[in-house]
Amino acid sequence: MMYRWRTGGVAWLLHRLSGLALAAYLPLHVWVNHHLSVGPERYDEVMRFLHTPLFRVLECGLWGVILYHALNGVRVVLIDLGIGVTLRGQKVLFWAAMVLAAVFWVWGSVGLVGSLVTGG
Amino acid sequence: MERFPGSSGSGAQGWLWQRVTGVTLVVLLVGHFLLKHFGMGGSEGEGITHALVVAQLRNPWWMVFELVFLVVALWHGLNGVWMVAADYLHAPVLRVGAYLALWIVGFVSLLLGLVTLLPLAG
Repeated sequence: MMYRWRTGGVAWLLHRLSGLALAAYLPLHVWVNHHLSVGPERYDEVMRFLHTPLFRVLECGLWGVILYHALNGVRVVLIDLGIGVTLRGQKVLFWAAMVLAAVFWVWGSVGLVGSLVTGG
Repeated sequence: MERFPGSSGSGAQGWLWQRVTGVTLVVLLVGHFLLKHFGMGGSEGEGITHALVVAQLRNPWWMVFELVFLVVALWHGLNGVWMVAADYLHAPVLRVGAYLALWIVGFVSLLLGLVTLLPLAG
């Protein structure tokens, strides 16, 4: 059987991939923050390193992956609850979720890297 | 259909809780990003410092927020990985191995999070 690249299938695949990426990031994030208990100097040093332009750009990527997973996840829950179950409904919900994700991504990214662009 | 060892029942419980924790995380992540990623480290801030985080965690509400966030995020993330693994791993030894590995990762991460947070309670 041929795999058909339709909205629902792609959304499902991306949901899995983004979920796996976030699950891999989570223990790493906990480990980085455990430097809180190592001491103020070490923690501030680690945070200064993560505040460099490269990591702030990467953080925009993280924010995007989270938004995709969160908003597509809300769409999955709505469908599970019987909202927008039709093929057309699912597709409309998907694109609505993506528009919301894009708006939130731009808003958040301005907060993360805006000062790099404006030189502030 | 034959049941695979290592799977806990039908998986319906895991599926339901994945939805419940997922919706919870949407709410918690908004607070987490506003405070920790945008607020302190955003365009106006110089980044997060030990002093800022410690001061915030003295507030019991934020301590509870972080503890709930830690548990719910770990559970959702690792149960999600298990759902994916269960779809592709069929040999019993692989399923049990993956299940155990995920529990160990979850337990170690939880412990690391708790020893970081709890001593900072105000």
